[in-house]
Amino acid sequence: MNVLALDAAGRFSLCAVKRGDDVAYAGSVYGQGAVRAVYTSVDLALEQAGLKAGQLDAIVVNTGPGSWTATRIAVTYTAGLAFGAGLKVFGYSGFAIGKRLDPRGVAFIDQLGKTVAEGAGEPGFTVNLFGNEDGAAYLNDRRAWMNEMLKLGQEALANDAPGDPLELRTTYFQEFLAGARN
Amino acid sequence: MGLVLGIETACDDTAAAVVDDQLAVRSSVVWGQKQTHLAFNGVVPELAARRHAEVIMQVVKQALDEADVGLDDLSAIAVNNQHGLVRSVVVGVSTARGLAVATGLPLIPVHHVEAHIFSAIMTNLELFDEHICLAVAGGHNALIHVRGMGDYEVIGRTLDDSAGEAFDKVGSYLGLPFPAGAQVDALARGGNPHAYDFPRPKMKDGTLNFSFSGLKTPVRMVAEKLQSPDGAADVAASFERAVVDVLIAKTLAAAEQKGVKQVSVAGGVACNTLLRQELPRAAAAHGIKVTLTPPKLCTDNAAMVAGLAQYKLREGAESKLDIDATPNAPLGKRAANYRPSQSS
Repeated sequence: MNVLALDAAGRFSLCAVKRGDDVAYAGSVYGQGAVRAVYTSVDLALEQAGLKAGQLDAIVVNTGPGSWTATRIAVTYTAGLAFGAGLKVFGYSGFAIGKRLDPRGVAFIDQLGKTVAEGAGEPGFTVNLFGNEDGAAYLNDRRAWMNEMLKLGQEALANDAPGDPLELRTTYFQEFLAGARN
Repeated sequence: MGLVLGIETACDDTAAAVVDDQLAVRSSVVWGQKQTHLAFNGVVPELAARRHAEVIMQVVKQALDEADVGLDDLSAIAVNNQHGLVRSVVVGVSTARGLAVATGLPLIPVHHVEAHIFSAIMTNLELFDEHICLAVAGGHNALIHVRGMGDYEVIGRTLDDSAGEAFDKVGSYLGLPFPAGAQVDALARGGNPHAYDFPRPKMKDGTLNFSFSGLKTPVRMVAEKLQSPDGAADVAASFERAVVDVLIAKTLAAAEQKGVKQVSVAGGVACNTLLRQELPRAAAAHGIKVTLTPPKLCTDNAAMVAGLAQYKLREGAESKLDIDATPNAPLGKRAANYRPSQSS
């Protein structure tokens, strides 16, 4: 089963491609523009995995919260890829991904240094979306995160979840706090 | 028969279209966002981008469905990546790039304003030859000397507001909901264009530039003094007359200056009733022929994007997957002086 996971919510665009038991990781900084960063990370990860988009079985994307523009690019890019290749695409919020890593949930620090946590109580861990300027370290820190995204994609496929690219949406902090998305 | 899927997200219209190699529009879907921006009396860039992202795939699918084709039937995908609100433009670019990578189809980037120029050419193929294009909308207001496709010189531009912005602002003074251009037009049909003698900014300054910011203030002062809604039609008609007088004078001056006998009008304001009536009449007196772009191709749409890509493909354009959103890109090789106004 070949699955691609994309997360552009933080300082870098991160992509992981699972081909059988192997996983290829790639990251790209936003310095040359978020559009290029997103598709460069995807191109690199696919190349490392030796796959074309059409050989994937599914795509998973972090729908936010995080960088508004980069996340929006990741969501629309993966929707285009999925629609074009006839694939399923599954969107998960950062909160949903984080909760898989620690049931107590995750807190995010945004670019204003503000912490946004899910629900009440102490979160299991904190993700500083924009704090780490070292791309390699950032990617290393987020490997478990990307692996969890890949697992979510495999499970969604196994459960025959719809994965309709026409229904893929971005998640924003405010909508989360207002309870508009879950 | 090669079909091109065009995608356009420059401002607040999410659009997709399929155009064939004879430039026939097989489908053209435009998803507007009036309700999203109504409360703000103008386009809010972040909200526009969010709405684009929510509907873009549905718009693409609808365009394909209405053309009764699938992605396998296409020969290329085209997208505006060179003009508009950056947050909006990136949505179209990323969607188009995703589709192109997945399908292996060529990706053809185009400039939004060049696509507007081409929308007139799709109407009248004689315009492949030298002409003057009045490109006038909410986000741009320029006189362009088109020497041929790809060879443009912007010889006049707005120094502040575009005519489209002025229409929207005046509409708000008269209590009309945003976007108000079409409603000011409709209101003006029942008014007296000579009721108020509003200024014609820069009409006789000897340049081909425009300035509509200064026209708004006298209109607002009159609108604020209106005792009843009955007078609104006269204000709308007088304002419209002032704008159209300037647009006509500058356009004819441009044609005369360049010795050109063909003029085209494109962009959202090209839908204006008075401009469509008066410009051909005034131009005819100078032996100048005017091509009015059909209204459905005037406002932002993706048919013009796909049509321009058809032309570019015919001229040997190659796929460019390494694209980015460059919303302040100059228009053509001679247009380094052109910069769009801040709002679109």
